[in-house]
Amino acid sequence: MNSKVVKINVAETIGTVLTTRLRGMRLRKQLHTILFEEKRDVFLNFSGVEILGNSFADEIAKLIAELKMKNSERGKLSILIPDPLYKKLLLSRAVYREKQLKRLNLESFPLDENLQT
Amino acid sequence: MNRKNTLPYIKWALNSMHEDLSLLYYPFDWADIFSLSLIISYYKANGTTPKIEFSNENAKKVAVRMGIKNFLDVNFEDHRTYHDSTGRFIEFKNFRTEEEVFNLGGEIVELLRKTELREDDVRSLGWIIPELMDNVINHACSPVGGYVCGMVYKTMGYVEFAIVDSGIGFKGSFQKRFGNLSEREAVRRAVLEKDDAGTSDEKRGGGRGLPVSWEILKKAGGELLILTGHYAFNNGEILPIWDDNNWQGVAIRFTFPYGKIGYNDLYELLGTPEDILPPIYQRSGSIEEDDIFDMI
Repeated sequence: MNSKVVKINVAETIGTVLTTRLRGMRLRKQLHTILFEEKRDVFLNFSGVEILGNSFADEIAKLIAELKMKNSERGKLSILIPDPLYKKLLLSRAVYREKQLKRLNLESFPLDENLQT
Repeated sequence: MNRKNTLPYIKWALNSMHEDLSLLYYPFDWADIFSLSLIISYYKANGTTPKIEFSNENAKKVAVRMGIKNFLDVNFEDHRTYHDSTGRFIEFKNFRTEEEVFNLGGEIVELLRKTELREDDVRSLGWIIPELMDNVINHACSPVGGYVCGMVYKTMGYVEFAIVDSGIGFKGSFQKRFGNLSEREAVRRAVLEKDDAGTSDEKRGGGRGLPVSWEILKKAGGELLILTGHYAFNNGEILPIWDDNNWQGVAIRFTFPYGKIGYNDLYELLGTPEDILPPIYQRSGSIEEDDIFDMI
Protein backbone atom coordinates (compact mmCIF):
# COMPACT_ATOMS: atom_id res chain seq x y z
CA MET A 1 0.00 0.00 0.00
CA ASN A 2 1.24 3.48 -0.81
CA SER A 3 1.19 5.18 2.58
CA LYS A 4 1.69 8.71 1.34
CA VAL A 5 -1.28 10.92 2.21
CA VAL A 6 -3.00 12.60 -0.72
CA LYS A 7 -3.68 16.21 0.26
CA ILE A 8 -6.39 18.07 -1.58
CA ASN A 9 -7.03 21.77 -1.07
CA VAL A 10 -10.57 22.06 -2.35
CA ALA A 11 -10.61 25.85 -2.69
CA GLU A 12 -7.49 25.80 -4.85
CA THR A 13 -8.35 22.81 -6.98
CA ILE A 14 -12.11 23.29 -7.45
CA GLY A 15 -13.11 26.77 -6.28
CA THR A 16 -14.20 28.86 -3.33
CA VAL A 17 -17.92 28.73 -4.20
CA LEU A 18 -18.73 25.02 -4.16
CA THR A 19 -22.07 24.32 -5.74
CA THR A 20 -23.79 21.67 -7.89
CA ARG A 21 -24.19 17.97 -7.39
CA LEU A 22 -22.11 17.05 -10.42
CA ARG A 23 -19.01 18.83 -9.11
CA GLY A 24 -19.43 17.14 -5.76
CA MET A 25 -19.91 13.80 -7.46
CA ARG A 26 -16.76 14.24 -9.53
CA LEU A 27 -14.77 14.86 -6.36
CA ARG A 28 -16.41 11.83 -4.72
CA LYS A 29 -15.49 9.71 -7.75
CA GLN A 30 -11.88 10.90 -7.58
CA LEU A 31 -11.75 10.14 -3.85
CA HIS A 32 -13.28 6.70 -4.43
CA THR A 33 -10.35 5.81 -6.67
CA ILE A 34 -7.76 7.01 -4.17
CA LEU A 35 -9.39 5.53 -1.08
CA PHE A 36 -10.81 2.25 -2.37
CA GLU A 37 -8.59 1.31 -5.31
CA GLU A 38 -5.23 2.87 -4.47
CA LYS A 39 -5.96 2.44 -0.75
CA ARG A 40 -4.22 5.68 0.11
CA ASP A 41 -5.18 8.13 2.86
CA VAL A 42 -6.69 11.47 1.89
CA PHE A 43 -6.61 14.80 3.67
CA LEU A 44 -9.38 16.99 2.30
CA ASN A 45 -8.91 20.64 3.20
CA PHE A 46 -11.85 23.05 2.88
CA SER A 47 -9.88 26.08 4.14
CA GLY A 48 -10.70 29.13 2.02
CA VAL A 49 -14.08 27.80 0.86
CA GLU A 50 -16.56 30.68 0.99
CA ILE A 51 -19.79 28.89 0.06
CA LEU A 52 -20.48 25.18 0.49
CA GLY A 53 -23.76 24.35 -1.20
CA ASN A 54 -26.11 21.60 -0.10
CA SER A 55 -25.77 19.50 -3.26
CA PHE A 56 -21.97 19.57 -3.25
CA ALA A 57 -21.82 18.83 0.48
CA ASP A 58 -24.30 15.99 0.06
CA GLU A 59 -21.98 14.16 -2.34
CA ILE A 60 -19.10 14.35 0.16
CA ALA A 61 -21.52 13.26 2.87
CA LYS A 62 -22.32 10.19 0.75
CA LEU A 63 -18.61 9.35 0.71
CA ILE A 64 -18.39 9.65 4.50
CA ALA A 65 -21.39 7.34 4.84
CA GLU A 66 -19.86 4.86 2.38
CA LEU A 67 -16.61 4.82 4.35
CA LYS A 68 -18.48 4.05 7.52
CA MET A 69 -20.27 1.16 5.83
CA LYS A 70 -17.26 -0.44 4.14
CA ASN A 71 -15.11 -2.67 6.28
CA SER A 72 -12.74 -3.76 3.54
CA GLU A 73 -9.17 -2.52 3.41
CA ARG A 74 -9.14 1.06 2.25
CA GLY A 75 -7.51 4.43 2.82
CA LYS A 76 -8.62 6.77 5.57
CA LEU A 77 -10.22 10.15 5.04
CA SER A 78 -9.56 13.22 7.16
CA ILE A 79 -11.39 16.45 6.52
CA LEU A 80 -10.65 19.96 7.70
CA ILE A 81 -13.53 22.44 7.53
CA PRO A 82 -12.66 25.56 9.51
CA ASP A 83 -16.16 27.05 9.15
CA PRO A 84 -18.46 25.47 11.79
CA LEU A 85 -21.51 26.26 9.66
CA TYR A 86 -20.36 24.10 6.77
CA LYS A 87 -18.98 21.45 9.10
CA LYS A 88 -22.44 21.11 10.60
CA LEU A 89 -24.03 20.98 7.15
CA LEU A 90 -21.70 18.22 6.01
CA LEU A 91 -22.07 16.19 9.18
CA SER A 92 -25.84 16.43 9.12
CA ARG A 93 -25.90 15.17 5.56
CA ALA A 94 -23.47 12.37 6.44
CA VAL A 95 -25.67 11.18 9.30
CA TYR A 96 -28.70 11.22 7.00
CA ARG A 97 -26.90 9.40 4.18
CA GLU A 98 -25.54 6.76 6.53
CA LYS A 99 -29.05 6.02 7.77
CA GLN A 100 -30.23 5.82 4.17
CA LEU A 101 -27.54 3.29 3.24
CA LYS A 102 -28.49 1.15 6.22
CA ARG A 103 -32.18 1.40 5.39
CA LEU A 104 -31.57 0.41 1.76
CA ASN A 105 -29.07 -2.26 2.79
CA LEU A 106 -26.44 -0.82 0.44
CA GLU A 107 -22.71 -0.21 0.78
CA SER A 108 -22.46 2.68 -1.64
CA PHE A 109 -24.37 5.23 -3.69
CA PRO A 110 -24.41 5.32 -7.51
CA LEU A 111 -21.64 7.31 -9.20
CA ASP A 112 -23.54 8.06 -12.38
CA GLU A 113 -22.89 11.52 -13.77
CA ASN A 114 -26.02 11.36 -15.85
CA LEU A 115 -28.27 12.74 -13.16
CA GLN A 116 -31.37 13.38 -15.21
CA THR A 117 -33.50 10.30 -15.60
CA MET B 1 -53.98 45.43 -15.01
CA ASN B 2 -53.12 46.11 -11.40
CA ARG B 3 -49.38 45.50 -11.20
CA LYS B 4 -49.36 45.38 -7.41
CA ASN B 5 -51.23 42.10 -7.61
CA THR B 6 -48.65 39.75 -9.07
CA LEU B 7 -50.62 36.55 -9.61
CA PRO B 8 -53.34 37.92 -11.91
CA TYR B 9 -50.66 39.77 -13.81
CA ILE B 10 -48.63 36.60 -14.38
CA LYS B 11 -51.79 34.71 -15.31
CA TRP B 12 -52.59 37.33 -17.88
CA ALA B 13 -49.05 37.20 -19.29
CA LEU B 14 -49.13 33.40 -19.54
CA ASN B 15 -52.49 33.39 -21.24
CA SER B 16 -51.11 35.72 -23.90
CA MET B 17 -48.33 33.34 -24.80
CA HIS B 18 -49.56 32.12 -28.12
CA GLU B 19 -49.85 35.58 -29.63
CA ASP B 20 -47.42 38.32 -30.49
CA LEU B 21 -47.17 40.40 -27.38
CA SER B 22 -47.46 44.12 -27.24
CA LEU B 23 -47.02 44.89 -23.60
CA LEU B 24 -47.41 48.39 -22.28
CA TYR B 25 -44.63 48.26 -19.75
CA TYR B 26 -44.78 51.33 -17.58
CA PRO B 27 -43.28 51.40 -15.07
CA PHE B 28 -41.10 48.38 -15.74
CA ASP B 29 -40.84 46.66 -12.37
CA TRP B 30 -39.86 43.28 -11.01
CA ALA B 31 -43.27 41.74 -11.75
CA ASP B 32 -42.65 42.58 -15.41
CA ILE B 33 -39.18 41.06 -15.35
CA PHE B 34 -40.53 37.92 -13.69
CA SER B 35 -43.35 37.54 -16.19
CA LEU B 36 -41.00 38.17 -19.10
CA SER B 37 -38.69 35.47 -17.75
CA LEU B 38 -41.61 33.06 -17.85
CA ILE B 39 -42.63 34.12 -21.34
CA ILE B 40 -39.08 33.77 -22.67
CA SER B 41 -38.67 30.35 -21.06
CA TYR B 42 -41.99 29.08 -22.43
CA TYR B 43 -41.47 30.43 -25.94
CA LYS B 44 -37.91 29.13 -26.17
CA ALA B 45 -39.07 25.70 -24.99
CA ASN B 46 -41.48 25.76 -27.92
CA GLY B 47 -38.73 26.71 -30.34
CA THR B 48 -39.57 30.35 -30.87
CA THR B 49 -38.42 33.74 -29.68
CA PRO B 50 -41.05 35.96 -28.08
CA LYS B 51 -41.88 39.09 -30.02
CA ILE B 52 -42.35 41.93 -27.57
CA GLU B 53 -43.14 45.55 -28.18
CA PHE B 54 -42.10 47.99 -25.52
CA SER B 55 -43.97 51.24 -25.66
CA ASN B 56 -41.96 52.98 -22.99
CA GLU B 57 -38.35 54.22 -23.04
CA ASN B 58 -37.72 53.32 -19.42
CA ALA B 59 -38.85 49.75 -20.03
CA LYS B 60 -36.53 49.52 -23.03
CA LYS B 61 -33.59 50.75 -20.95
CA VAL B 62 -34.21 48.21 -18.21
CA ALA B 63 -34.70 45.40 -20.74
CA VAL B 64 -31.35 46.29 -22.28
CA ARG B 65 -29.52 46.72 -19.00
CA MET B 66 -30.94 43.47 -17.60
CA GLY B 67 -29.79 41.63 -20.72
CA ILE B 68 -33.38 40.52 -21.39
CA LYS B 69 -33.40 42.19 -24.80
CA ASN B 70 -30.93 39.59 -26.07
CA PHE B 71 -33.56 36.88 -25.58
CA LEU B 72 -36.41 38.73 -27.31
CA ASP B 73 -37.47 39.65 -30.80
CA VAL B 74 -37.76 43.40 -30.30
CA ASN B 75 -37.83 46.34 -32.65
CA PHE B 76 -35.49 48.83 -31.06
CA GLU B 77 -31.74 49.27 -31.13
CA ASP B 78 -29.46 49.39 -28.16
CA HIS B 79 -27.63 52.73 -27.97
CA ARG B 80 -26.72 52.41 -24.33
CA THR B 81 -23.15 52.76 -23.13
CA TYR B 82 -22.32 49.76 -20.99
CA HIS B 83 -20.44 50.17 -17.73
CA ASP B 84 -18.69 47.45 -15.79
CA SER B 85 -20.70 44.71 -14.16
CA THR B 86 -20.91 46.37 -10.76
CA GLY B 87 -24.15 47.83 -9.57
CA ARG B 88 -27.63 46.59 -9.01
CA PHE B 89 -28.26 44.30 -11.95
CA ILE B 90 -27.65 40.56 -12.04
CA GLU B 91 -28.20 40.19 -15.76
CA PHE B 92 -30.64 37.72 -17.31
CA LYS B 93 -28.77 34.51 -18.12
CA ASN B 94 -29.61 31.09 -19.48
CA PHE B 95 -28.04 27.97 -17.94
CA ARG B 96 -28.29 24.45 -19.34
CA THR B 97 -25.57 22.44 -17.64
CA GLU B 98 -24.20 21.92 -14.15
CA GLU B 99 -20.96 23.43 -15.38
CA GLU B 100 -22.82 26.63 -16.23
CA VAL B 101 -24.59 26.60 -12.87
CA PHE B 102 -21.24 26.20 -11.11
CA ASN B 103 -19.64 29.09 -13.00
CA LEU B 104 -22.71 31.31 -12.84
CA GLY B 105 -23.07 30.69 -9.10
CA GLY B 106 -19.51 31.93 -8.61
CA GLU B 107 -20.12 34.97 -10.82
CA ILE B 108 -23.30 35.91 -8.95
CA VAL B 109 -21.52 35.70 -5.60
CA GLU B 110 -18.79 38.00 -6.96
CA LEU B 111 -21.37 40.48 -8.26
CA LEU B 112 -23.20 40.48 -4.93
CA ARG B 113 -19.91 41.17 -3.13
CA LYS B 114 -19.40 44.22 -5.34
CA THR B 115 -22.73 45.60 -4.16
CA GLU B 116 -21.25 45.70 -0.66
CA LEU B 117 -23.78 43.39 0.94
CA ARG B 118 -22.79 41.98 4.32
CA GLU B 119 -20.93 38.69 4.26
CA ASP B 120 -23.83 36.78 5.82
CA ASP B 121 -26.19 38.13 3.14
CA VAL B 122 -23.81 37.07 0.38
CA ARG B 123 -23.40 33.71 2.09
CA SER B 124 -27.19 33.24 2.28
CA LEU B 125 -27.79 34.22 -1.34
CA GLY B 126 -24.73 32.29 -2.48
CA TRP B 127 -26.28 29.23 -0.88
CA ILE B 128 -29.86 29.73 -2.10
CA ILE B 129 -29.37 30.74 -5.74
CA PRO B 130 -27.09 27.91 -6.93
CA GLU B 131 -29.26 25.39 -5.07
CA LEU B 132 -32.34 26.56 -6.98
CA MET B 133 -30.43 26.56 -10.27
CA ASP B 134 -29.04 23.10 -9.56
CA ASN B 135 -32.60 21.84 -9.00
CA VAL B 136 -33.45 22.92 -12.55
CA ILE B 137 -30.61 20.85 -13.97
CA ASN B 138 -31.18 17.80 -11.77
CA HIS B 139 -34.96 17.62 -11.62
CA ALA B 140 -36.75 19.83 -14.15
CA CYS B 141 -35.95 18.08 -17.47
CA SER B 142 -36.35 21.52 -19.03
CA PRO B 143 -35.55 21.52 -22.77
CA VAL B 144 -34.12 25.04 -22.52
CA GLY B 145 -32.49 24.73 -19.12
CA GLY B 146 -33.24 27.61 -16.80
CA TYR B 147 -33.07 31.37 -16.66
CA VAL B 148 -31.87 33.51 -13.77
CA CYS B 149 -31.73 37.23 -13.08
CA GLY B 150 -31.67 39.51 -10.09
CA MET B 151 -31.67 43.05 -8.90
CA VAL B 152 -30.24 44.73 -5.81
CA TYR B 153 -32.39 47.55 -4.45
CA LYS B 154 -29.78 49.26 -2.30
CA THR B 155 -31.83 52.14 -0.97
CA MET B 156 -34.82 49.95 -0.21
CA GLY B 157 -32.67 47.28 1.40
CA TYR B 158 -33.56 44.12 -0.47
CA VAL B 159 -32.62 41.85 -3.33
CA GLU B 160 -35.01 40.28 -5.87
CA PHE B 161 -34.28 37.14 -7.85
CA ALA B 162 -36.11 35.11 -10.48
CA ILE B 163 -35.23 31.54 -11.49
CA VAL B 164 -37.45 30.01 -14.17
CA ASP B 165 -37.62 26.80 -16.18
CA SER B 166 -40.07 25.15 -18.59
CA GLY B 167 -39.63 21.59 -17.44
CA ILE B 168 -41.94 18.98 -15.96
CA GLY B 169 -42.68 20.79 -12.70
CA PHE B 170 -42.60 19.43 -9.16
CA LYS B 171 -45.38 16.98 -9.91
CA GLY B 172 -43.65 15.56 -12.99
CA SER B 173 -40.34 15.23 -11.15
CA PHE B 174 -41.85 13.45 -8.14
CA GLN B 175 -44.00 11.21 -10.33
CA LYS B 176 -40.94 9.93 -12.16
CA ARG B 177 -39.43 8.76 -8.91
CA PHE B 178 -42.22 8.13 -6.46
CA GLY B 179 -45.40 7.47 -8.45
CA ASN B 180 -48.62 9.37 -8.70
CA LEU B 181 -49.41 12.25 -6.39
CA SER B 182 -51.52 15.37 -6.66
CA GLU B 183 -50.08 18.65 -7.87
CA ARG B 184 -50.80 20.32 -4.54
CA GLU B 185 -49.06 17.51 -2.66
CA ALA B 186 -46.06 17.79 -4.99
CA VAL B 187 -45.76 21.52 -4.22
CA ARG B 188 -46.10 20.88 -0.50
CA ARG B 189 -43.41 18.21 -0.50
CA ALA B 190 -41.03 20.20 -2.68
CA VAL B 191 -41.14 23.37 -0.62
CA LEU B 192 -42.07 22.35 2.89
CA GLU B 193 -40.61 18.88 3.52
CA LYS B 194 -36.98 18.01 3.84
CA ASP B 195 -35.61 14.81 2.41
CA ASP B 196 -35.94 12.78 5.58
CA ALA B 197 -39.65 12.81 4.74
CA GLY B 198 -38.90 10.73 1.67
CA THR B 199 -38.34 13.13 -1.23
CA SER B 200 -34.67 12.22 -1.66
CA ASP B 201 -33.29 9.23 -3.49
CA GLU B 202 -29.93 7.54 -3.35
CA LYS B 203 -28.79 8.83 -6.73
CA ARG B 204 -29.51 12.51 -6.40
CA GLY B 205 -30.68 14.71 -3.60
CA GLY B 206 -34.01 16.23 -4.18
CA GLY B 207 -35.38 17.29 -0.90
CA ARG B 208 -33.41 19.86 0.93
CA GLY B 209 -32.30 22.84 -1.15
CA LEU B 210 -35.70 24.44 -1.64
CA PRO B 211 -37.15 23.88 1.88
CA VAL B 212 -33.99 25.25 3.52
CA SER B 213 -33.97 28.19 1.08
CA TRP B 214 -37.54 28.98 2.13
CA GLU B 215 -36.52 28.79 5.81
CA ILE B 216 -33.61 31.18 5.21
CA LEU B 217 -35.89 33.60 3.35
CA LYS B 218 -38.50 33.43 6.13
CA LYS B 219 -35.87 34.07 8.79
CA ALA B 220 -34.65 37.09 6.83
CA GLY B 221 -38.21 38.41 6.48
CA GLY B 222 -38.21 37.70 2.76
CA GLU B 223 -40.92 36.51 0.41
CA LEU B 224 -41.18 33.51 -1.88
CA LEU B 225 -43.52 33.03 -4.82
CA ILE B 226 -43.38 29.79 -6.82
CA LEU B 227 -45.57 29.09 -9.82
CA THR B 228 -45.73 25.54 -11.12
CA GLY B 229 -48.38 23.79 -13.17
CA HIS B 230 -51.75 24.92 -11.89
CA TYR B 231 -50.57 25.97 -8.43
CA ALA B 232 -48.70 28.73 -6.67
CA PHE B 233 -46.79 28.68 -3.43
CA ASN B 234 -47.10 32.16 -2.02
CA ASN B 235 -45.27 32.73 1.28
CA GLY B 236 -46.40 29.47 2.84
CA GLU B 237 -49.82 29.19 1.19
CA ILE B 238 -50.47 26.76 -1.65
CA LEU B 239 -53.15 28.12 -3.96
CA PRO B 240 -54.76 26.90 -7.19
CA ILE B 241 -54.27 29.68 -9.73
CA TRP B 242 -54.97 28.38 -13.23
CA ASP B 243 -57.29 25.84 -14.80
CA ASP B 244 -56.14 25.80 -18.37
CA ASN B 245 -52.45 26.58 -18.82
CA ASN B 246 -50.10 24.29 -20.71
CA TRP B 247 -46.99 25.48 -18.96
CA GLN B 248 -45.74 22.93 -16.40
CA GLY B 249 -42.40 24.41 -15.38
CA VAL B 250 -41.28 26.04 -12.16
CA ALA B 251 -40.95 29.81 -11.80
CA ILE B 252 -39.46 31.11 -8.58
CA ARG B 253 -39.43 34.70 -7.49
CA PHE B 254 -37.97 35.67 -4.13
CA THR B 255 -37.26 38.79 -2.14
CA PHE B 256 -34.39 38.84 0.35
CA PRO B 257 -34.13 41.82 2.70
CA TYR B 258 -30.50 42.27 3.56
CA GLY B 259 -28.95 42.89 6.95
CA LYS B 260 -31.57 40.71 8.63
CA ILE B 261 -29.89 37.33 8.92
CA GLY B 262 -26.74 36.46 10.80
CA TYR B 263 -24.25 33.64 11.03
CA ASN B 264 -26.03 32.08 14.01
CA ASP B 265 -29.31 31.99 12.09
CA LEU B 266 -27.65 30.17 9.21
CA TYR B 267 -25.94 27.82 11.63
CA GLU B 268 -29.34 26.93 13.04
CA LEU B 269 -30.91 26.41 9.60
CA LEU B 270 -28.17 24.54 7.72
CA GLY B 271 -28.12 21.08 9.19
CA THR B 272 -30.37 18.95 11.29
CA PRO B 273 -30.41 18.61 15.08
CA GLU B 274 -28.54 15.32 14.59
CA ASP B 275 -25.29 17.18 14.91
CA ILE B 276 -23.06 14.36 16.05
CA LEU B 277 -19.44 14.21 15.04
CA PRO B 278 -18.92 10.83 13.38
CA PRO B 279 -15.64 9.14 14.41
CA ILE B 280 -14.53 9.18 10.77
CA TYR B 281 -14.27 12.93 11.13
CA GLN B 282 -11.61 12.94 13.80
CA ARG B 283 -8.27 14.08 12.53
CA SER B 284 -6.15 11.19 11.36
CA GLY B 285 -2.96 10.51 13.29
CA SER B 286 -1.16 10.19 9.97
CA ILE B 287 -1.45 13.91 9.26
CA GLU B 288 1.33 16.05 10.70
CA GLU B 289 0.17 19.23 12.41
CA ASP B 290 2.48 21.33 10.20
CA ASP B 291 0.85 19.94 7.09
CA ILE B 292 -2.65 21.04 7.99
CA PHE B 293 -2.42 24.50 6.44
CA ASP B 294 0.27 23.69 3.93
CA MET B 295 -1.59 21.97 1.17
CA ILE B 296 -0.50 21.28 -2.38
